[in-house]
Amino acid sequence: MDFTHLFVELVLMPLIAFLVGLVMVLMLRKVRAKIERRIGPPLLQPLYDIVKLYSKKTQVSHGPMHEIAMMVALGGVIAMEVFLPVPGLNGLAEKGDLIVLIYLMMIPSLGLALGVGACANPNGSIGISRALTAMVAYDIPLMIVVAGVALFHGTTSLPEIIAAQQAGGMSTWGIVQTPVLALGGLIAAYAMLGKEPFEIYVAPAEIATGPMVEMSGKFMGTLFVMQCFQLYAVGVLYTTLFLGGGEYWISFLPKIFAVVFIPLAMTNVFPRYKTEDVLKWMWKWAGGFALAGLALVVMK
Amino acid sequence: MRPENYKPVQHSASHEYELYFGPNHPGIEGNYALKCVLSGDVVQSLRADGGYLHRGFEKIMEERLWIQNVALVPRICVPDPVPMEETYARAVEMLGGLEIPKRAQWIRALMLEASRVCAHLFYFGGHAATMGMYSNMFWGVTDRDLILDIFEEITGARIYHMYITPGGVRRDLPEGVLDRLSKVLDYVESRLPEFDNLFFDNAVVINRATGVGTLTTEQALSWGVTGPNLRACGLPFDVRRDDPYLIYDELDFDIPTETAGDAWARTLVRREELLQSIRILRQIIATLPKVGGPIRCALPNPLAWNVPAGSVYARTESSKGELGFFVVSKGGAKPWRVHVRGPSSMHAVHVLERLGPGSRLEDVAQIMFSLDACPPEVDR
Repeated sequence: MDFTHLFVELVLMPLIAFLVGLVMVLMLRKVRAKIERRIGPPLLQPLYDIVKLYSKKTQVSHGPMHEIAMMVALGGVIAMEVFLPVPGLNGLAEKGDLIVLIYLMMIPSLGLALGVGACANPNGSIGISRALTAMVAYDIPLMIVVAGVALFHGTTSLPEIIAAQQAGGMSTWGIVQTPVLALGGLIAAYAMLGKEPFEIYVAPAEIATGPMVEMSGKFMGTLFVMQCFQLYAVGVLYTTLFLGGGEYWISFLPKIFAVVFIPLAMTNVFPRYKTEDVLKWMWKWAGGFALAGLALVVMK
Repeated sequence: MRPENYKPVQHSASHEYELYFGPNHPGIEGNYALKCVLSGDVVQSLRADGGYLHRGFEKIMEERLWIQNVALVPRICVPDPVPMEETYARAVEMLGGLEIPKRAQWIRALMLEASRVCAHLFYFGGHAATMGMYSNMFWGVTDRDLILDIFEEITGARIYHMYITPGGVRRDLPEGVLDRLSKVLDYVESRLPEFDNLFFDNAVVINRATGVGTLTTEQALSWGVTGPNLRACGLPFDVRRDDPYLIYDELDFDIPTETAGDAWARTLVRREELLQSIRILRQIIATLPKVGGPIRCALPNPLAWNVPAGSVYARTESSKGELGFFVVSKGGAKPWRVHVRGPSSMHAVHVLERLGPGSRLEDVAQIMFSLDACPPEVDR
């Protein structure tokens, strides 16, 4: 692959991720509105929100660490996108594998922790400690799921995992071959989205939106953009591991939207758990399914 | 203060830290604040900090004519203003020795119970929102709006009606409003199974609300707790039954109680009370067409009305507890002193400050909302 081609892919992949993520945010808000018996926002509202937030003057900055860390967090999610293969675009997926991706997935949380830590607001600090706790809660089942998938396919390369799943049509998809692992992965993906009942680190009524409490204007806009990338990344990762990835966008997009839609449709009927309940629940159920799935893979 | 002039206060090393709940916080009711000292997730001490909405109603009322205060009193408590109008009007009527026409009494009871339904629908949403469940909040507010439509039709206003005046009510019911109210009640009742599915039978909600902010009966009595919060401790005290006013002694209704005394018990009591209020409203809808007569007794010229000297205490069962007005007249055109005994003064200050220590950070907002504390009423 020549450099120009790679460069185009590195620009295109985050751009597509952002645009699809915007539609996912719109879906999130529309679904929520429907369940809450509201009309919901117009089609371009997520875009308007980002433009509005980025056009605001930054009133309060808490020093260089606050600003650099937000860039690190945003950079982390953008870097993640170029390792996630999508139809026609492999980016760096052939150079890096699942292990690199898992590392990159932790960067946004750590970047946020650095940035919010610089704010010295107790609500933000509690929010970040909760976010890191939630990460421990869903990352352990996710690691087991990833290990199971890698063992099953005998590789950590995402393009190879996709190719193996696409070899025999739907019957070779991960969700058919390793259904227990796929269930554990879906629960972990739900928790990664940070929606109720796992929404412990935003918790407006408890810690006044936690990490977001000191984020105004452009900082808030950055968080909004990160949400777009995150929704997209979760959908693509799960589709890659269990739904056969995507040969064509026409078949790929419905899959990633379905993955994100399932948690979004359920989230509105739950209140949030307490922090320790998230840990208990995730380790018990997501961890339990992941371990059982791994055991089945090992026995095969 | 400009950010460059800000110098952080240096505290000595401690495992404790201060966290401000409010006055600008999604977990606080209205313009109010709680100053919490926490160690980890556990509240060590909690101090209620009011005054953000202080309007000095009690003092202002001393400077206005008796009839002018009708416009002031509903503003004391935004979510449940009708009991304010009723209690003030009854206090003035007691001082003036006025006999209220029967029809006005039935209409007032209708307004009071409809307001209770509104307040409880609001409460379900508020309590759920403290746990991050906003669907319930939007449902509650949407359904409440239908009753506000009825209020608007009857009084011309949705929240601050200024409808109940000393001597009766401002105007008679519009034609057909009872049928429309009946349909709204049918609808609200039909929605309850959905509220049950979403909220009252939700295992996560029950898990989070059970055992939170528990009050014993002894504590409740010694801290001045009244209303649904007291009945959630197992004591069936209700002003409507124990010191009846208007036509409540002619109505058939139950006083629901629970025994646990926690946030969940307080919510369950209100759910049952909502049904009881609908039951009362149905009785009123059936009886009111048969009750004729005037809607207001003859009043002296309200602009030159010297209410006889004396002091009275009138009380009403509001959706939040016992609401009392202690009114003193020196025989003049204005009250000499008006004191409002709002249930939230006890619930949002004394009770909350005592229930806070030992509770978890994530439960602070829930305890406050489960007590149905109304900050505008604390500040008044």
